[in-house]
Amino acid sequence: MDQQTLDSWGPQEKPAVMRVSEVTAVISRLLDTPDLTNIRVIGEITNFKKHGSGHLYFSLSERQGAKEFVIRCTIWKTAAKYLPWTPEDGMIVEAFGTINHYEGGGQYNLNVTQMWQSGAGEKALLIERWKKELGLKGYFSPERKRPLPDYPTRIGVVTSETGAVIHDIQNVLSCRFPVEIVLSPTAVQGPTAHDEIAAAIKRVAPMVDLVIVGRGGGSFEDLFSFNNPIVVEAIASCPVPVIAAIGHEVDVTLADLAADVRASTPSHAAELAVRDRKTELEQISQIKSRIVRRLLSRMEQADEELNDLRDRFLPVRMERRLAERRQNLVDITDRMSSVSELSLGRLKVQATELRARLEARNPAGILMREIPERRIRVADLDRQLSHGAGSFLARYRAELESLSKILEARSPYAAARDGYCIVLRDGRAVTSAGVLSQGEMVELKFRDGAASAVIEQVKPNEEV
Amino acid sequence: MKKYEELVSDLKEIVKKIEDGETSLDEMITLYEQGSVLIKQCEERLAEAEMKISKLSKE
Repeated sequence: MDQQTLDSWGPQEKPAVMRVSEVTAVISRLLDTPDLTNIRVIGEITNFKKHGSGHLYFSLSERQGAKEFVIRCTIWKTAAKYLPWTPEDGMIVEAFGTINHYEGGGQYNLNVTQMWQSGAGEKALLIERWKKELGLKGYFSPERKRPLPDYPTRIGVVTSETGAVIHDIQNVLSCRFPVEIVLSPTAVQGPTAHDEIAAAIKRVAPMVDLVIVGRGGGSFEDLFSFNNPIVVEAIASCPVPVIAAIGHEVDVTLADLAADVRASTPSHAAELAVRDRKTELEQISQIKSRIVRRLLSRMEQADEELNDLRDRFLPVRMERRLAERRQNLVDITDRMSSVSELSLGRLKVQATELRARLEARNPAGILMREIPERRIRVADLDRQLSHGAGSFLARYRAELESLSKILEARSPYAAARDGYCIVLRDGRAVTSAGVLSQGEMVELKFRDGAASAVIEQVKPNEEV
Repeated sequence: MKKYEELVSDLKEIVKKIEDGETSLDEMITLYEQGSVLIKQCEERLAEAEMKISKLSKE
Protein backbone atom coordinates (compact mmCIF):
# COMPACT_ATOMS: atom_id res chain seq x y z
CA MET A 1 0.00 0.00 0.00
CA ASP A 2 1.37 3.37 -0.85
CA GLN A 3 -0.28 5.37 1.88
CA GLN A 4 1.23 8.71 2.74
CA THR A 5 1.48 10.54 6.00
CA LEU A 6 0.71 14.23 6.19
CA ASP A 7 4.39 15.01 6.78
CA SER A 8 5.58 13.18 3.73
CA TRP A 9 3.40 15.16 1.35
CA GLY A 10 5.81 17.99 1.27
CA PRO A 11 5.40 20.28 -1.65
CA GLN A 12 3.02 17.93 -3.43
CA GLU A 13 -0.59 18.90 -3.81
CA LYS A 14 -2.84 18.06 -0.86
CA PRO A 15 -6.13 16.17 -1.58
CA ALA A 16 -9.31 18.20 -1.40
CA VAL A 17 -10.94 18.38 1.99
CA MET A 18 -14.20 16.43 2.22
CA ARG A 19 -17.05 16.95 4.60
CA VAL A 20 -18.24 14.07 6.79
CA SER A 21 -21.55 14.10 4.95
CA GLU A 22 -19.77 13.72 1.65
CA VAL A 23 -17.77 10.69 2.89
CA THR A 24 -20.90 9.27 4.40
CA ALA A 25 -22.67 9.64 1.08
CA VAL A 26 -19.85 7.77 -0.67
CA ILE A 27 -20.06 4.93 1.83
CA SER A 28 -23.82 4.78 1.47
CA ARG A 29 -23.48 4.66 -2.29
CA LEU A 30 -20.86 1.94 -2.15
CA LEU A 31 -22.95 -0.19 0.22
CA ASP A 32 -25.98 0.20 -1.98
CA THR A 33 -25.08 -2.64 -4.26
CA PRO A 34 -26.88 -5.79 -5.43
CA ASP A 35 -24.18 -7.82 -3.61
CA LEU A 36 -25.53 -6.60 -0.28
CA THR A 37 -29.20 -6.35 -1.20
CA ASN A 38 -31.69 -9.12 -0.38
CA ILE A 39 -29.02 -11.53 0.76
CA ARG A 40 -29.21 -14.66 2.92
CA VAL A 41 -26.68 -14.79 5.73
CA ILE A 42 -26.00 -17.72 8.10
CA GLY A 43 -24.50 -17.04 11.52
CA GLU A 44 -24.83 -17.35 15.27
CA ILE A 45 -26.97 -14.87 17.15
CA THR A 46 -25.04 -12.94 19.79
CA ASN A 47 -25.82 -9.88 21.91
CA PHE A 48 -29.52 -10.28 21.25
CA LYS A 49 -31.64 -7.46 22.70
CA LYS A 50 -35.30 -6.71 22.40
CA HIS A 51 -35.82 -2.98 22.60
CA GLY A 52 -38.82 -1.51 24.38
CA SER A 53 -39.98 -0.09 21.09
CA GLY A 54 -40.39 -3.63 19.71
CA HIS A 55 -37.33 -3.53 17.43
CA LEU A 56 -34.84 -6.41 17.76
CA TYR A 57 -31.10 -5.80 17.86
CA PHE A 58 -28.44 -8.51 17.68
CA SER A 59 -25.31 -9.60 15.87
CA LEU A 60 -24.67 -12.45 13.55
CA SER A 61 -21.26 -13.89 14.21
CA GLU A 62 -18.97 -16.55 12.95
CA ARG A 63 -15.80 -17.83 14.53
CA GLN A 64 -12.85 -19.13 12.59
CA GLY A 65 -10.27 -20.29 15.06
CA ALA A 66 -9.33 -17.26 17.10
CA LYS A 67 -10.83 -14.80 14.65
CA GLU A 68 -14.40 -13.66 14.92
CA PHE A 69 -16.55 -11.98 12.25
CA VAL A 70 -19.53 -9.93 13.29
CA ILE A 71 -22.35 -8.12 11.49
CA ARG A 72 -24.77 -5.99 13.43
CA CYS A 73 -28.41 -6.68 12.61
CA THR A 74 -31.79 -5.09 13.18
CA ILE A 75 -35.29 -6.40 12.77
CA TRP A 76 -37.82 -3.61 12.80
CA LYS A 77 -40.97 -3.98 14.83
CA THR A 78 -43.04 -4.42 11.68
CA ALA A 79 -40.99 -7.46 10.63
CA ALA A 80 -40.45 -8.75 14.16
CA LYS A 81 -44.16 -9.37 14.69
CA TYR A 82 -44.13 -11.90 11.82
CA LEU A 83 -41.29 -13.87 13.40
CA PRO A 84 -42.91 -17.03 14.81
CA TRP A 85 -40.14 -17.75 17.36
CA THR A 86 -38.04 -15.78 19.80
CA PRO A 87 -34.38 -15.45 18.85
CA GLU A 88 -31.80 -16.26 21.53
CA ASP A 89 -28.06 -15.94 21.83
CA GLY A 90 -26.28 -19.00 20.51
CA MET A 91 -28.87 -19.88 17.89
CA ILE A 92 -27.58 -20.50 14.40
CA VAL A 93 -29.91 -18.74 11.97
CA GLU A 94 -30.39 -17.81 8.37
CA ALA A 95 -31.27 -14.16 8.03
CA PHE A 96 -32.71 -12.53 4.89
CA GLY A 97 -32.25 -8.79 4.40
CA THR A 98 -30.28 -5.85 3.06
CA ILE A 99 -27.21 -4.00 4.31
CA ASN A 100 -28.06 -0.41 5.18
CA HIS A 101 -25.74 2.36 6.12
CA TYR A 102 -26.94 4.10 9.24
CA GLU A 103 -25.61 7.57 8.56
CA GLY A 104 -26.44 9.05 11.93
CA GLY A 105 -24.44 6.34 13.73
CA GLY A 106 -21.62 5.73 11.30
CA GLN A 107 -22.54 2.08 11.23
CA TYR A 108 -23.89 -0.37 8.76
CA ASN A 109 -26.50 -2.94 9.68
CA LEU A 110 -28.10 -5.92 8.12
CA ASN A 111 -31.74 -5.00 8.18
CA VAL A 112 -33.40 -8.39 8.47
CA THR A 113 -36.88 -8.90 7.12
CA GLN A 114 -37.10 -12.67 7.50
CA MET A 115 -35.20 -15.16 9.61
CA TRP A 116 -35.17 -18.94 10.07
CA GLN A 117 -33.47 -21.22 12.55
CA SER A 118 -30.95 -23.33 10.72
CA GLY A 119 -30.04 -26.91 11.57
CA ALA A 120 -28.03 -25.74 14.58
CA GLY A 121 -31.08 -24.02 15.94
CA GLU A 122 -32.75 -27.38 15.87
CA LYS A 123 -29.76 -28.77 17.70
CA ALA A 124 -30.21 -26.12 20.37
CA LEU A 125 -33.77 -27.32 20.77
CA LEU A 126 -32.49 -30.88 21.03
CA ILE A 127 -30.07 -29.83 23.77
CA GLU A 128 -32.96 -28.20 25.64
CA ARG A 129 -34.87 -31.45 25.45
CA TRP A 130 -31.89 -33.51 26.64
CA LYS A 131 -31.29 -31.03 29.43
CA LYS A 132 -34.84 -31.49 30.64
CA GLU A 133 -34.71 -35.28 30.42
CA LEU A 134 -31.31 -35.65 32.06
CA GLY A 135 -32.25 -33.04 34.64
CA LEU A 136 -35.18 -35.22 35.68
CA LYS A 137 -32.71 -38.03 36.31
CA GLY A 138 -30.97 -35.67 38.73
CA TYR A 139 -27.70 -35.53 36.77
CA PHE A 140 -27.35 -31.78 37.24
CA SER A 141 -28.51 -31.45 40.84
CA PRO A 142 -26.09 -29.81 43.27
CA GLU A 143 -26.51 -32.62 45.84
CA ARG A 144 -24.72 -34.97 43.46
CA LYS A 145 -21.58 -32.84 43.34
CA ARG A 146 -18.67 -34.59 45.02
CA PRO A 147 -15.73 -32.83 46.66
CA LEU A 148 -12.40 -33.16 44.87
CA PRO A 149 -9.66 -35.21 46.55
CA ASP A 150 -7.14 -33.07 48.44
CA TYR A 151 -4.09 -34.81 47.05
CA PRO A 152 -4.82 -36.86 43.96
CA THR A 153 -1.96 -39.12 42.99
CA ARG A 154 -3.15 -39.94 39.51
CA ILE A 155 -5.25 -37.72 37.31
CA GLY A 156 -7.03 -38.95 34.21
CA VAL A 157 -7.34 -36.53 31.33
CA VAL A 158 -9.95 -37.19 28.68
CA THR A 159 -9.15 -35.08 25.61
CA SER A 160 -7.59 -35.10 22.20
CA GLU A 161 -3.98 -36.31 22.20
CA THR A 162 -3.01 -33.65 19.69
CA GLY A 163 -4.76 -30.60 21.10
CA ALA A 164 -3.42 -27.89 23.36
CA VAL A 165 -5.51 -29.11 26.30
CA ILE A 166 -3.15 -31.84 27.46
CA HIS A 167 -0.17 -29.48 27.23
CA ASP A 168 -1.90 -26.77 29.24
CA ILE A 169 -2.76 -29.29 31.93
CA GLN A 170 0.78 -30.68 32.01
CA ASN A 171 2.24 -27.21 32.36
CA VAL A 172 0.05 -26.23 35.26
CA LEU A 173 0.47 -29.54 37.07
CA SER A 174 4.25 -29.51 36.74
CA CYS A 175 4.37 -26.04 38.30
CA ARG A 176 1.90 -26.64 41.08
CA PHE A 177 2.11 -30.24 42.16
CA PRO A 178 3.50 -32.84 39.79
CA VAL A 179 1.42 -36.00 39.74
CA GLU A 180 0.92 -38.87 37.42
CA ILE A 181 -1.24 -38.07 34.42
CA VAL A 182 -3.06 -40.75 32.48
CA LEU A 183 -4.17 -39.46 29.11
CA SER A 184 -7.23 -41.15 27.73
CA PRO A 185 -7.28 -39.97 24.13
CA THR A 186 -10.49 -39.34 22.23
CA ALA A 187 -11.87 -37.38 19.32
CA VAL A 188 -13.50 -34.24 20.73
CA GLN A 189 -15.68 -33.39 17.75
CA GLY A 190 -17.32 -35.15 14.86
CA PRO A 191 -20.22 -37.52 14.40
CA THR A 192 -18.89 -40.30 16.66
CA ALA A 193 -17.06 -38.15 19.19
CA HIS A 194 -19.70 -38.60 21.90
CA ASP A 195 -19.27 -42.39 21.95
CA GLU A 196 -15.50 -42.01 22.03
CA ILE A 197 -15.60 -39.47 24.84
CA ALA A 198 -17.88 -41.64 26.97
CA ALA A 199 -15.66 -44.69 26.36
CA ALA A 200 -12.51 -42.71 27.20
CA ILE A 201 -14.03 -41.59 30.52
CA LYS A 202 -15.03 -45.16 31.44
CA ARG A 203 -11.63 -46.51 30.47
CA VAL A 204 -9.57 -44.16 32.60
CA ALA A 205 -11.83 -43.76 35.66
CA PRO A 206 -10.84 -47.02 37.46
CA MET A 207 -7.14 -46.09 37.35
CA VAL A 208 -7.24 -42.56 38.76
CA ASP A 209 -8.46 -40.38 41.68
CA LEU A 210 -9.85 -37.64 39.48
CA VAL A 211 -10.84 -37.15 35.84
CA ILE A 212 -10.53 -33.96 33.79
CA VAL A 213 -12.67 -33.84 30.65
CA GLY A 214 -11.32 -31.06 28.46
CA ARG A 215 -11.67 -29.41 25.13
CA GLY A 216 -10.47 -26.09 23.78
CA GLY A 217 -12.79 -23.40 22.47
CA GLY A 218 -14.87 -24.06 19.40
CA SER A 219 -18.14 -23.30 17.74
CA PHE A 220 -21.46 -24.42 19.05
CA GLU A 221 -21.26 -27.20 16.46
CA ASP A 222 -17.76 -28.20 17.58
CA LEU A 223 -18.82 -28.55 21.21
CA PHE A 224 -22.04 -30.34 20.38
CA SER A 225 -20.77 -33.83 21.32
CA PHE A 226 -20.37 -32.67 24.92
CA ASN A 227 -24.13 -32.24 25.15
CA ASN A 228 -24.85 -35.79 24.16
CA PRO A 229 -26.64 -37.84 26.84
CA ILE A 230 -24.09 -40.64 26.48
CA VAL A 231 -21.31 -38.27 27.58
CA VAL A 232 -23.46 -36.75 30.31
CA GLU A 233 -24.26 -40.19 31.72
CA ALA A 234 -20.61 -41.27 31.59
CA ILE A 235 -19.70 -38.21 33.66
CA ALA A 236 -22.58 -38.57 36.11
CA SER A 237 -21.83 -42.24 36.73
CA CYS A 238 -18.05 -41.83 36.87
CA PRO A 239 -16.76 -43.51 40.08
CA VAL A 240 -14.33 -40.64 40.80
CA PRO A 241 -14.98 -36.87 40.71
CA VAL A 242 -14.93 -35.16 37.33
CA ILE A 243 -13.78 -31.65 36.41
CA ALA A 244 -15.13 -30.41 33.09
CA ALA A 245 -13.36 -27.73 31.08
CA ILE A 246 -15.10 -27.55 27.73
CA GLY A 247 -14.88 -24.59 25.38
CA HIS A 248 -14.63 -21.08 26.70
CA GLU A 249 -16.11 -19.65 29.86
CA VAL A 250 -19.30 -18.64 28.00
CA ASP A 251 -19.91 -22.06 26.51
CA VAL A 252 -21.85 -24.24 28.89
CA THR A 253 -22.40 -27.78 27.69
CA LEU A 254 -24.47 -30.41 29.46
CA ALA A 255 -21.19 -32.18 30.28
CA ASP A 256 -20.15 -29.06 32.21
CA LEU A 257 -23.42 -29.15 34.13
CA ALA A 258 -23.08 -32.84 35.01
CA ALA A 259 -19.46 -32.58 36.19
CA ASP A 260 -18.70 -32.27 39.90
CA VAL A 261 -16.73 -29.10 39.22
CA ARG A 262 -16.75 -26.87 36.17
CA ALA A 263 -13.57 -25.10 35.18
CA SER A 264 -13.42 -22.21 32.74
CA THR A 265 -10.39 -23.55 30.87
CA PRO A 266 -8.23 -26.70 30.91
CA SER A 267 -5.50 -24.77 32.80
CA HIS A 268 -8.05 -23.75 35.36
CA ALA A 269 -9.10 -27.39 35.66
CA ALA A 270 -5.51 -28.37 36.45
CA GLU A 271 -5.32 -25.63 39.09
CA LEU A 272 -8.47 -26.91 40.72
CA ALA A 273 -7.20 -30.49 40.60
CA VAL A 274 -4.11 -30.07 42.79
CA ARG A 275 -2.86 -27.78 45.51
CA ASP A 276 0.14 -25.58 45.06
CA ARG A 277 3.31 -27.32 46.21
CA LYS A 278 4.77 -24.06 47.50
CA THR A 279 1.78 -23.41 49.71
CA GLU A 280 2.00 -26.98 50.98
CA LEU A 281 5.67 -26.58 51.88
CA GLU A 282 4.90 -23.34 53.69
CA GLN A 283 2.16 -25.01 55.62
CA ILE A 284 4.40 -27.85 56.63
CA SER A 285 7.11 -25.49 57.82
CA GLN A 286 4.46 -23.64 59.84
CA ILE A 287 3.41 -26.90 61.40
CA LYS A 288 7.04 -27.64 62.18
CA SER A 289 7.57 -24.35 63.99
CA ARG A 290 4.33 -24.76 65.88
CA ILE A 291 5.44 -28.15 67.16
CA VAL A 292 8.88 -26.90 68.12
CA ARG A 293 7.52 -23.83 69.87
CA ARG A 294 5.04 -25.88 71.80
CA LEU A 295 7.61 -28.46 72.84
CA LEU A 296 10.08 -25.78 73.92
CA SER A 297 7.54 -24.00 76.08
CA ARG A 298 6.53 -27.31 77.63
CA MET A 299 10.19 -28.08 78.41
CA GLU A 300 10.65 -24.65 79.94
CA GLN A 301 7.66 -25.25 82.11
CA ALA A 302 9.03 -28.63 83.19
CA ASP A 303 12.38 -27.03 83.95
CA GLU A 304 10.75 -24.42 86.17
CA GLU A 305 8.83 -27.06 88.02
CA LEU A 306 12.01 -29.01 88.64
CA ASN A 307 13.88 -25.94 89.89
CA ASP A 308 11.12 -25.14 92.28
CA LEU A 309 11.13 -28.66 93.68
CA ARG A 310 14.89 -28.67 94.01
CA ASP A 311 14.79 -25.43 96.02
CA ARG A 312 12.28 -26.85 98.36
CA PHE A 313 14.58 -29.79 99.10
CA LEU A 314 17.54 -27.60 100.27
CA PRO A 315 18.81 -28.64 103.82
CA VAL A 316 18.68 -25.00 105.04
CA ARG A 317 15.01 -24.88 104.17
CA MET A 318 14.43 -28.24 105.82
CA GLU A 319 16.12 -26.98 109.00
CA ARG A 320 13.97 -23.87 108.99
CA ARG A 321 10.87 -25.97 108.57
CA LEU A 322 11.87 -28.14 111.52
CA ALA A 323 12.45 -25.10 113.71
CA GLU A 324 9.05 -23.78 112.75
CA ARG A 325 7.45 -27.06 113.67
CA ARG A 326 9.22 -27.20 117.01
CA GLN A 327 8.07 -23.71 117.88
CA ASN A 328 4.57 -24.71 116.94
CA LEU A 329 4.69 -27.62 119.32
CA VAL A 330 5.79 -25.40 122.22
CA ASP A 331 3.02 -22.99 121.50
CA ILE A 332 0.47 -25.69 121.51
CA THR A 333 1.61 -27.14 124.84
CA ASP A 334 1.45 -23.71 126.44
CA ARG A 335 -1.96 -23.09 125.23
CA MET A 336 -3.14 -26.46 126.43
CA SER A 337 -1.99 -25.90 130.05
CA SER A 338 -3.40 -22.39 130.32
CA VAL A 339 -6.63 -23.58 128.95
CA SER A 340 -6.88 -26.40 131.50
CA GLU A 341 -6.36 -24.08 134.51
CA LEU A 342 -8.92 -21.69 133.33
CA SER A 343 -11.56 -24.28 132.73
CA LEU A 344 -11.11 -26.01 136.07
CA GLY A 345 -12.16 -22.88 137.97
CA ARG A 346 -15.15 -22.48 135.69
CA LEU A 347 -16.22 -26.08 136.24
CA LYS A 348 -16.19 -25.66 140.01
CA VAL A 349 -18.53 -22.69 139.86
CA GLN A 350 -20.79 -24.60 137.57
CA ALA A 351 -20.92 -27.58 139.92
CA THR A 352 -21.97 -25.41 142.86
CA GLU A 353 -24.71 -23.85 140.81
CA LEU A 354 -25.96 -27.20 139.67
CA ARG A 355 -25.99 -28.57 143.19
CA ALA A 356 -28.12 -25.64 144.40
CA ARG A 357 -30.57 -26.18 141.58
CA LEU A 358 -30.73 -29.88 142.34
CA GLU A 359 -31.43 -29.21 146.01
CA ALA A 360 -34.30 -26.93 145.10
CA ARG A 361 -35.90 -29.82 143.25
CA ASN A 362 -35.59 -32.43 146.06
CA PRO A 363 -39.12 -34.04 146.39
CA ALA A 364 -38.79 -34.67 150.15
CA GLY A 365 -38.22 -30.99 150.82
CA ILE A 366 -41.11 -30.08 148.53
CA LEU A 367 -43.51 -32.41 150.39
CA MET A 368 -42.55 -31.15 153.84
CA ARG A 369 -43.27 -27.65 152.70
CA GLU A 370 -46.52 -28.34 150.90
CA ILE A 371 -48.46 -30.99 152.94
CA PRO A 372 -50.31 -28.69 155.41
CA GLU A 373 -51.38 -26.47 152.57
CA ARG A 374 -52.69 -29.40 150.56
CA ARG A 375 -54.57 -30.85 153.51
CA ILE A 376 -56.64 -27.65 153.79
CA ARG A 377 -57.43 -27.80 150.10
CA VAL A 378 -58.66 -31.41 150.38
CA ALA A 379 -61.04 -30.49 153.24
CA ASP A 380 -62.40 -27.65 151.14
CA LEU A 381 -63.01 -29.92 148.22
CA ASP A 382 -64.77 -32.48 150.47
CA ARG A 383 -67.11 -29.87 151.79
CA GLN A 384 -67.94 -28.61 148.36
CA LEU A 385 -68.58 -32.14 147.19
CA SER A 386 -71.05 -33.12 149.98
CA HIS A 387 -72.99 -29.93 149.61
CA GLY A 388 -73.27 -30.38 145.86
CA ALA A 389 -74.27 -34.04 146.26
CA GLY A 390 -77.12 -33.21 148.69
CA SER A 391 -78.77 -30.80 146.30
CA PHE A 392 -78.39 -33.30 143.43
CA LEU A 393 -80.14 -36.05 145.49
CA ALA A 394 -83.14 -33.82 146.34
CA ARG A 395 -83.60 -33.00 142.66
CA TYR A 396 -83.41 -36.67 141.59
CA ARG A 397 -85.92 -37.73 144.25
CA ALA A 398 -88.52 -35.15 143.13
CA GLU A 399 -88.07 -36.27 139.52
CA LEU A 400 -88.46 -39.92 140.47
CA GLU A 401 -91.69 -39.25 142.31
CA SER A 402 -93.31 -37.44 139.41
CA LEU A 403 -92.21 -40.19 137.04
CA SER A 404 -93.71 -42.95 139.26
CA LYS A 405 -96.99 -41.05 139.32
CA ILE A 406 -97.09 -40.95 135.56
CA LEU A 407 -96.20 -44.62 135.48
CA GLU A 408 -98.92 -45.56 137.93
CA ALA A 409 -101.55 -43.71 135.93
CA ARG A 410 -100.60 -45.76 132.88
CA SER A 411 -100.41 -49.10 134.74
CA PRO A 412 -102.74 -51.87 133.53
CA TYR A 413 -103.69 -52.37 137.16
CA ALA A 414 -105.11 -48.92 137.24
CA ALA A 415 -108.16 -50.35 135.45
CA ALA A 416 -108.42 -53.19 137.95
CA ARG A 417 -109.63 -50.74 140.53
CA ASP A 418 -113.00 -50.57 138.79
CA GLY A 419 -113.69 -54.34 138.97
CA TYR A 420 -111.53 -55.57 136.15
CA CYS A 421 -108.82 -58.12 136.48
CA ILE A 422 -106.27 -59.67 134.16
CA VAL A 423 -106.51 -63.38 133.33
CA LEU A 424 -103.18 -65.06 133.00
CA ARG A 425 -102.40 -68.52 131.78
CA ASP A 426 -98.89 -69.72 132.29
CA GLY A 427 -97.95 -66.13 133.11
CA ARG A 428 -99.37 -64.70 129.86
CA ALA A 429 -102.43 -62.51 129.50
CA VAL A 430 -105.43 -64.28 127.97
CA THR A 431 -107.21 -62.01 125.50
CA SER A 432 -109.80 -64.39 124.04
CA ALA A 433 -112.22 -66.87 125.51
CA GLY A 434 -111.61 -69.18 122.57
CA VAL A 435 -108.10 -70.09 123.69
CA LEU A 436 -109.26 -71.44 127.00
CA SER A 437 -110.48 -74.99 127.60
CA GLN A 438 -112.47 -76.59 130.37
CA GLY A 439 -110.59 -77.51 133.54
CA GLU A 440 -107.65 -75.27 132.75
CA MET A 441 -105.94 -73.40 135.60
CA VAL A 442 -105.67 -69.63 135.25
CA GLU A 443 -104.54 -66.84 137.46
CA LEU A 444 -106.53 -63.70 138.09
CA LYS A 445 -104.50 -60.60 138.77
CA PHE A 446 -105.95 -57.75 140.76
CA ARG A 447 -104.59 -54.44 141.73
CA ASP A 448 -103.85 -55.52 145.20
CA GLY A 449 -103.36 -59.30 144.79
CA ALA A 450 -104.01 -62.44 142.79
CA ALA A 451 -106.33 -65.47 142.79
CA SER A 452 -106.19 -68.92 141.17
CA ALA A 453 -109.23 -70.20 139.24
CA VAL A 454 -110.32 -73.23 137.21
CA ILE A 455 -112.29 -72.82 133.95
CA GLU A 456 -115.61 -74.59 134.29
CA GLN A 457 -117.00 -73.85 130.91
CA VAL A 458 -115.90 -71.94 127.84
CA LYS A 459 -118.65 -69.85 126.16
CA PRO A 460 -117.43 -67.94 123.17
CA ASN A 461 -119.80 -65.34 121.65
CA GLU A 462 -121.60 -66.96 118.82
CA GLU A 463 -121.70 -64.03 116.55
CA VAL A 464 -117.94 -63.49 116.64
CA MET B 1 4.19 -46.59 51.00
CA LYS B 2 1.81 -44.15 52.60
CA LYS B 3 0.08 -41.54 50.48
CA TYR B 4 1.06 -37.91 50.95
CA GLU B 5 -2.48 -37.25 52.11
CA GLU B 6 -2.10 -39.81 54.91
CA LEU B 7 1.22 -38.36 55.98
CA VAL B 8 -0.34 -34.92 56.26
CA SER B 9 -3.34 -36.15 58.19
CA ASP B 10 -1.06 -38.10 60.61
CA LEU B 11 0.98 -34.96 61.05
CA LYS B 12 -2.10 -32.88 61.82
CA GLU B 13 -3.16 -35.42 64.42
CA ILE B 14 0.23 -35.15 66.11
CA VAL B 15 0.06 -31.34 66.15
CA LYS B 16 -3.37 -31.56 67.73
CA LYS B 17 -2.07 -33.85 70.50
CA ILE B 18 1.00 -31.72 71.13
CA GLU B 19 -1.11 -28.58 71.43
CA ASP B 20 -3.52 -30.29 73.77
CA GLY B 21 -2.78 -29.25 77.35
CA GLU B 22 -3.30 -32.79 78.66
CA THR B 23 -0.36 -34.41 76.95
CA SER B 24 2.54 -35.34 79.22
CA LEU B 25 6.08 -34.26 78.50
CA ASP B 26 7.26 -37.79 77.71
CA GLU B 27 4.40 -38.22 75.28
CA MET B 28 5.15 -34.87 73.72
CA ILE B 29 8.75 -35.81 73.10
CA THR B 30 7.72 -39.06 71.46
CA LEU B 31 5.15 -37.20 69.36
CA TYR B 32 7.74 -34.62 68.41
CA GLU B 33 10.06 -37.32 67.16
CA GLN B 34 7.27 -38.91 65.15
CA GLY B 35 6.23 -35.51 63.82
CA SER B 36 9.76 -34.68 62.71
CA VAL B 37 9.94 -37.88 60.73
CA LEU B 38 6.59 -37.14 59.09
CA ILE B 39 7.60 -33.59 58.25
CA LYS B 40 10.77 -34.84 56.63
CA GLN B 41 8.83 -37.40 54.65
CA CYS B 42 6.30 -34.79 53.49
CA GLU B 43 9.02 -32.41 52.42
CA GLU B 44 10.84 -35.12 50.56
CA ARG B 45 7.66 -36.26 48.92
CA LEU B 46 6.92 -32.73 47.73
CA ALA B 47 10.46 -32.17 46.54
CA GLU B 48 10.62 -35.49 44.75
CA ALA B 49 7.22 -35.24 43.10
CA GLU B 50 7.64 -35.70 39.41
CA MET B 51 5.25 -35.70 36.60
CA LYS B 52 4.73 -38.95 34.79
CA ILE B 53 2.57 -39.20 31.76
CA SER B 54 1.12 -42.36 30.40
CA LYS B 55 -1.30 -42.75 27.56
CA LEU B 56 -4.05 -45.29 27.23
CA SER B 57 -4.69 -46.84 23.87
CA LYS B 58 -8.01 -45.95 22.33
CA GLU B 59 -9.19 -49.53 22.37
